[in-house]
Amino acid sequence: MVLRQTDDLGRLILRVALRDRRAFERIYAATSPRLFAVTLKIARDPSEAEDILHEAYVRIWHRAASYAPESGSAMGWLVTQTRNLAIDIVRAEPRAVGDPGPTHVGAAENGLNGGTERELIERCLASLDEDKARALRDAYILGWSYKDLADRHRTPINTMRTWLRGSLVALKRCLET
Amino acid sequence: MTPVPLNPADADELLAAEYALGVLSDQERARASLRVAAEPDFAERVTVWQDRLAPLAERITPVTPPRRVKEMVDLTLFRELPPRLHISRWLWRGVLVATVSALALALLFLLPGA
Repeated sequence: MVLRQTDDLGRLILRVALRDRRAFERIYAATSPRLFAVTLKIARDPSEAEDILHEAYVRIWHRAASYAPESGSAMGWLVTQTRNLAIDIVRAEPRAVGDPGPTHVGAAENGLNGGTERELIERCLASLDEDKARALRDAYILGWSYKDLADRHRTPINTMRTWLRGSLVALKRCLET
Repeated sequence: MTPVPLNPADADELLAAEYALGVLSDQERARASLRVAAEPDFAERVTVWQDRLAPLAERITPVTPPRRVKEMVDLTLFRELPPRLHISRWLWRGVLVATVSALALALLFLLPGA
């Protein structure tokens, strides 16, 4: 099934808030490959990614009433619920010393249907230095903290913080113009 | 790069961005999430940033999850077992099929003139 309009997805979430199970089935069918991709990137292994995805949909069912259509896209809301959960779970685990962790996000990796919002943010990222754009992308997609980023980019943590803050300010300015 | 002193609104804006991005340390993250729960203005900034960054996830190639994930979701939310575990339903169907067959056979033999 393909949901072309983000509005459709938003309406389905509102129906889930009213405990409409059929709407929930449709959301799962339409979004689970996207959300699984999100958890696979952040989790340590595929089985943990499955557990997080399971919990994410349970959370989506319970929190659907907190979704506000006027404050952002429906897919964005689903991604955010999933990503926050994934980061909280992964951060709560003891980290193995010398764990190489996930690799950088491949530059060639491409999702389907590049929407206008995605084109816009990619264009804004392209206006940053390559290293800085990559740090921001790694942070978002792999769920890396300042510490992870500093370790992997071999940069002091405060330098990384200054870098990333500068990138966030530039990104905001770019997206707003 | 020389750090520029921030006014409180700028500092909140950056903290909201860092929280949405997920780069804060565990302690900073926990503190920020308390603020999200308690301060609607701050929560709104975080929501705007989450929405701003979410298109980045579209870059990841979708992967269809195994069926067992959905089965676990149904089990958790609706106390529903996956179809292959509906033993009683299959048992019941088996009994029904056996009964109907037996009846049909019996009729075949008992019909006058068979």
